Amino acid sequence: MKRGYLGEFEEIVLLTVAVMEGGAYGVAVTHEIAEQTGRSVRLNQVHAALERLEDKGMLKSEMGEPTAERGGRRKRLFTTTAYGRRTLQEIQEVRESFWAKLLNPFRPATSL
Amino acid sequence: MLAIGSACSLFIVNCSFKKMKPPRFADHLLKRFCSPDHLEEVLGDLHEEFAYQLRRGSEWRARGRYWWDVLGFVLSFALKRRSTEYSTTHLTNPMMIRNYFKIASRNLVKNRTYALINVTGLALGIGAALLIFALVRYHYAIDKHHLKYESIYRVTTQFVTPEGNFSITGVPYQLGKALKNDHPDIENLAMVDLYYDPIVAIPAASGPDRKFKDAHRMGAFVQPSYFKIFDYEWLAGGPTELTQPNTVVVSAENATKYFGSTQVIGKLIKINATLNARIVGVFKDYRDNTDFAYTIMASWASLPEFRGHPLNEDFDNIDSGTQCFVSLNNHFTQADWNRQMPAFVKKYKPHGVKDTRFPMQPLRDIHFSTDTGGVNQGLIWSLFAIGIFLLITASINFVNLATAQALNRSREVGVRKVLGSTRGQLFWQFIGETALLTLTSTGIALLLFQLGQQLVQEYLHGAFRFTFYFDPSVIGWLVLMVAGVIFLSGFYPALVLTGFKPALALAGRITSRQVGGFSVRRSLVVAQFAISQMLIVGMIVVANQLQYIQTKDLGFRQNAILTVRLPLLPKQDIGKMENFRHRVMAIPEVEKLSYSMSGPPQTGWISQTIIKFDNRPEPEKFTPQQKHVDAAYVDLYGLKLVAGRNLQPADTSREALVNETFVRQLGISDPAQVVGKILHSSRKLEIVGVVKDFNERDLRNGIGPLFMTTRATNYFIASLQLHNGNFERVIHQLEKEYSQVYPDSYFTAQFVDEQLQENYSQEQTMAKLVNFFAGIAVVIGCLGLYGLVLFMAAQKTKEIGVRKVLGASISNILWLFGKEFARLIIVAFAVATPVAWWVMTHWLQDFTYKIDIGPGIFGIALLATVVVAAVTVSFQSIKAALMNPVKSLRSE
Repeated sequence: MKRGYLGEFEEIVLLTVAVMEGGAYGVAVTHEIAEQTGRSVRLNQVHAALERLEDKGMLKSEMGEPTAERGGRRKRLFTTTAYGRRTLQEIQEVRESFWAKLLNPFRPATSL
Repeated sequence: MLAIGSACSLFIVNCSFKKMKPPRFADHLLKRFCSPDHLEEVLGDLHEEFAYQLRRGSEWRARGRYWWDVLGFVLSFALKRRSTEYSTTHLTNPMMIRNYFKIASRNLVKNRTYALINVTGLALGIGAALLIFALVRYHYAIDKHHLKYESIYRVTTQFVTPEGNFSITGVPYQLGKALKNDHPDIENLAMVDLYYDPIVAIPAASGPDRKFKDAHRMGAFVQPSYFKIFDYEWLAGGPTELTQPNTVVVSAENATKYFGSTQVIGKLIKINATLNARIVGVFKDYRDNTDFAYTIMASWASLPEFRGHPLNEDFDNIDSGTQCFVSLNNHFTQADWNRQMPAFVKKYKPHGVKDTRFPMQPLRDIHFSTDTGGVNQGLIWSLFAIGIFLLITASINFVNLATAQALNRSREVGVRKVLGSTRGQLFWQFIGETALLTLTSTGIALLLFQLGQQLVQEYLHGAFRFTFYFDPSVIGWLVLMVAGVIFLSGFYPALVLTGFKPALALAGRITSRQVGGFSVRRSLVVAQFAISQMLIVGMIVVANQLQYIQTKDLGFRQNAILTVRLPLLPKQDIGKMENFRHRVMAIPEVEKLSYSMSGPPQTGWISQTIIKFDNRPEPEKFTPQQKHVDAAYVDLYGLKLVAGRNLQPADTSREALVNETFVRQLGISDPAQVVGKILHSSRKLEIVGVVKDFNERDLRNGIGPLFMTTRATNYFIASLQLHNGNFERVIHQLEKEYSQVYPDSYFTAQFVDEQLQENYSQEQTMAKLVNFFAGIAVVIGCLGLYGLVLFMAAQKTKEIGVRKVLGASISNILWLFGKEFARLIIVAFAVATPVAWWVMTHWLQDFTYKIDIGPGIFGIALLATVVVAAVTVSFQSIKAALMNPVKSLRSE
């Protein structure tokens, strides 16, 4: 079972793009990640990750519509490729199989 | 309805957007670094984010955030240029740079001679220009370190005479007091009194005093406010006590010399065997260049004791060493003074209303006022011009050789263009090559500068201190110069090279005609020749003029006359002078001896006075110089009497001799008419004779009115007429006699002709420098010429071969080269002559006695250029002409 290696941040970006279903572009992904994870993410990091993912063939992109806010510039809209989706799935499967093997599943750490 | 609403909201967003735009510079920065295929989305995202942040918070925050993001992008790898099928390899790609270096070094090695010529020329040019800059800066930085530089003035005395104005640096003793009294608004005012060669004795508890002499230095008497005008740093004590008599401040160097330490407050010294003074302050040595480097400054209140009599109360006796400095502010300006000066003169010197003025001379002008002993600014600027010429000639060499070689590189340009180089890329490649050569040359130039600096320092006897390397303006100048040279020499060749059409270049169909540079190259060579010719004309004129003024008959004898300085005492001891005379006359080589106040060649010490003539009721409208001389003076210096007789020997003033100018100034044409008349100065004198005019100052000035009278107590030099013989032994003997008569003083002797040379030392130094640098410029020009001929010979190898085969003689072939350059020289001559004539005529205007610039000088310049060019050209062209045509034609 060989798959492309994904860093943790890349995985999140890839997931975010998948979640956003066609509306994913730099700023939107950044905001979404910030909202969901509470991390402070920098725009250039997201751009770098998106680009790497595209290089790896997990994302594809096309230019979208210009808006006034962007000074009449177009967005680059990202969507996941089949390979990208499969990779996410495989990651998920690997994790689940590990979780299943856990004899003593963690309980919320209330009494410590 | 909905559509209208959304359009409206869009409009509003637009408005707010227009008002608050993201930082433009940040965008600009991004554009520089971001690859073009990413720019749109990145900028778009950034702007959107900016708008989002604006809605959420303050503009300030949004901007901060924007910058933060942009920097993130600039630093990140996200934007590294991706190679797509459209992108080009960037100019600064490491691979391309390696390629450029390789090609550049191959080219240099292949054309070693040209590279060597270029580097040598540029190194010489840049090194010399840097040295010139150092010199110019030295002159312009003098005394600039004083905080009040812009508001300091020296009050001088100006006499208005029919022949023109005549300035001296001194003012009457009482001017300071009067000025302060009448114009309390003057911020600071200080009187200064200068004397040469201070001699300091340190009283010893036992044994003889230790004595120190500051040769070629000046001592001064100053008022304490002097230190409010000029900035001094104090190592011990200070100027506050200088209000009292018998106090003195000394420089750290002198304190160390006298006592071996700078903690010398309270110690006693004796100045010129006259004045006992207590040291009240030690100031830090002069670090910056200054015209007022007095190493020992006593209080003004000590001056009467030093002079041996109360200071003159009148406004008629003016010594050039008695100077007045002021610093001004808004309350009282130079313009105010100019308005009020006539009233001031009227009040204090009513008889001088017409001819006396006391103008204020700004400190920044003092160093350059030739009439008060300053440096000729014209010479400094001509040096500067030569510096620029040097750079231009060196650059012209570069351009000439580079364009001449352009043909050889046309293929390279063609290939590069076919492979996708843009014109801009090629342009920067060639500029880069130029920069590489220029920087190499600059390295060598700095070494040359180091050498030259030592040479110049020797010329100027250490007067020229280099505080140079630590000076930001130097770095600035160097960078400017190097950038200028790179641009001048790289721009045109790069333009020519990048302009080649690849198809033609690759087909080898670019000929030297198409390089287009041919006429440009010609005009550049003409410019170079013209510059060389102008410089040669300048060199000849300067040399001739200096020769002329140094050998012109000054009207008095100069040969084998030795002057010995008597001690600078308030009153000479007549007994000691007689004693000295007897001892000196006993030396067999000494033929005659005369005592006088000063020799015919003046040394900055001019005593002028107002006179009344005969029974004219009003004082005369001119101020003659008075000289105290004994009866032997006229004979010893070979002055000629045009009327009357010589002075009778006497120790006091009773009779006077006047010069011809004096008579003319009186409005009398026949010299005989003044003989027997009375002249009233401080005393009543009978005019007994008129001497022919002689030059007492240098030939830059004319001859002023003069009268001479006896007054033994005012003699300061002894002039000795010597027979031929061993002068060294005589001087040695004199020194022995002198120290026996004047044990408190030091012996100084100088030949009159040497002293005269010294008058022109500044001119001579400058002339030497001008010659030196002009010589370098000519050498650089020759280098370029040599390179050009070298190239021509290489180009014409085939042509020469064919011509020789068809029967051309060697002289025919030589003429092939010669006619080209001969034509250029003639054109250059036509350009250079009027310019050089104009400039040099201008320069000569400073001199009262000057040479004519005749056609001969231009002839010599033309001849010199022709000879230099012929020598440079002939070597290569003869080589080319002698070559066996078989060799040159076989290789096809």
